[in-house]
Amino acid sequence: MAQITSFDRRRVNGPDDSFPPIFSDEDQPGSSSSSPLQRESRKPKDIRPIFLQTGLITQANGSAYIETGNSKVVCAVYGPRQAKNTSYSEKGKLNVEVKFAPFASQRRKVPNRDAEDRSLAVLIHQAIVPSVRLELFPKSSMDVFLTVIENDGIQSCGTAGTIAASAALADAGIEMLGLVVSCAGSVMSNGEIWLDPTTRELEHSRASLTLSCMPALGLITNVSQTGQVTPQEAIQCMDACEERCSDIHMVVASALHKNQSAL
Amino acid sequence: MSTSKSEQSYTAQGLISNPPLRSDGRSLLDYRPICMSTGVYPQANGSAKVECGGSEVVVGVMCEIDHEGNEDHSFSANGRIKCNVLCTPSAYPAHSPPALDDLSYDLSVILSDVYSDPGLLPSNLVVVPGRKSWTIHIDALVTADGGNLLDVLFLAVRAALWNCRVPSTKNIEYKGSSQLGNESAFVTQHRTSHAADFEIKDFWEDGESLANRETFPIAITLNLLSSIHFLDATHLESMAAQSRLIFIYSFSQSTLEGNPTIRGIKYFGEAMPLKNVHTHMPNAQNYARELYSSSQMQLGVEESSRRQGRVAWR
Repeated sequence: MAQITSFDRRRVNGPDDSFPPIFSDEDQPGSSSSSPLQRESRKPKDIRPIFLQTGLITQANGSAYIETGNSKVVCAVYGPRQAKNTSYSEKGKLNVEVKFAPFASQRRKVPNRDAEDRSLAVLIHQAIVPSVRLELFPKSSMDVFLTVIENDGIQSCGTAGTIAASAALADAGIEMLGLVVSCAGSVMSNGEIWLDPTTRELEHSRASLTLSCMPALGLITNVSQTGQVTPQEAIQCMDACEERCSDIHMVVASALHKNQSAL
Repeated sequence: MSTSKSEQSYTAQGLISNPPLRSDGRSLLDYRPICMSTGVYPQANGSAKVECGGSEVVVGVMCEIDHEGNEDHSFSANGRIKCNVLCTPSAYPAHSPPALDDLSYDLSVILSDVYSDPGLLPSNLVVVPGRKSWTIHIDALVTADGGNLLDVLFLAVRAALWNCRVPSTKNIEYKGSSQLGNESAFVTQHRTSHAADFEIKDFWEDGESLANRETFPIAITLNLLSSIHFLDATHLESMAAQSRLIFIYSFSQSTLEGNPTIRGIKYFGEAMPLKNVHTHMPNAQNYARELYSSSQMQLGVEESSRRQGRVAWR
């Protein structure tokens, strides 16, 4: 048992550790026998419906809220403003910060300690940075703050975060070359490609791939893959993601248009 | 290291000219000489040092016993591989400590993403089935960065894992006997199904090498600049390139002729059409295969010379 260093005997102290309950009708993770070969409720190349709204956070220059199935992400953009450090920079600086709400995942994330996810921030930064015209903002910086409220599939947090960040940048009126949208796919153990996997589906996947692109220009801004795939599967997955991205682009464009006409 | 605009454009002009010109006289697809040595740290279970041009990475691999019900409840019965990369301040004198931490963290994530895949886990990490297993800690130290760090890092980690020897163990079992005091109640057996604990074999050989170690991956960084691509960029050249496309491949004896397995794809830099990824994939595959075979040859030489040394010592 770990020694409790800051023990306050005036309070009711809970146990050191906590675990999510395991229900008897839930299939155990990692058991191959329960591997779903057929996807429930949607086709392999379908993604979960997207709800996107911009301009929710009034004090931010731009903001967006996105919901895809159970994944929920909020994004706020502040800037462009004068860079804090005194050194001269010819191009603007784009900072991306991703934080998880303590209740976002199955296990609680301790605030301030493991709430921040730098790897996700790096992924989203690379996805949106080629689209922003940073050469127009010398000596200035822009901050993109993302908060994951609920996480259903870590890949979908990255894709939803990218879409929300790009929509919020557009909402802030920052000049961009095009809207960035993102789509994830996973290669299942039977070799099938399922787009936009949930946490449950990821447990049975062999590999996953995230593709971010600007469908208006036909350019990709980021591609990231983990797990094991054959070159053919990787190409198939990238093509499937790119195809779906043009649909997502329509959703983002109509959300921005709706917000604009509401003003 | 910061570079001026004119330096970058001068380097880029050289690279895209016909014939291409690089400051050290290499062709676009040449690597700088790679120097690889294994078994450099006797206290580690496996170690390697790889130098390529100005980049230098040292890796130590340590095996540690992990048991059921450990502190962070992360026990895996089949063993685990954990990675950590540390960038030393001497390699990056211009970086502030937080920037150095971020860089170390980013490299650790790239390495962990690849090595945490269960498909790469060696099969011989189980000690007491369901109870105890080996955790392999890979610790990489970047002592100098002269560009193309990721390729060198993966090469060094692979060499250290190739060199790694898992201590051989035998399992022991307790059998209650009706006639106490007759003989020892501990029965030692190898790979028993009711094993309670284990002990390290006292054996002159330092253990067995990791199973399917030839599948440990190789990284290839393609530096893209307008219509050309080049390998093993120096610092200045990587600043001149528009983007970097990284493929991580895993080979085995059976896939040496056919298609290898992709273990990871990463991308950094400006936007590009998707078909570029498709066209570069077969190229990267060929470069990775060449790097794999030459590193494999060197590892073979290292291993056989060590074996001979041991025979002579006996």
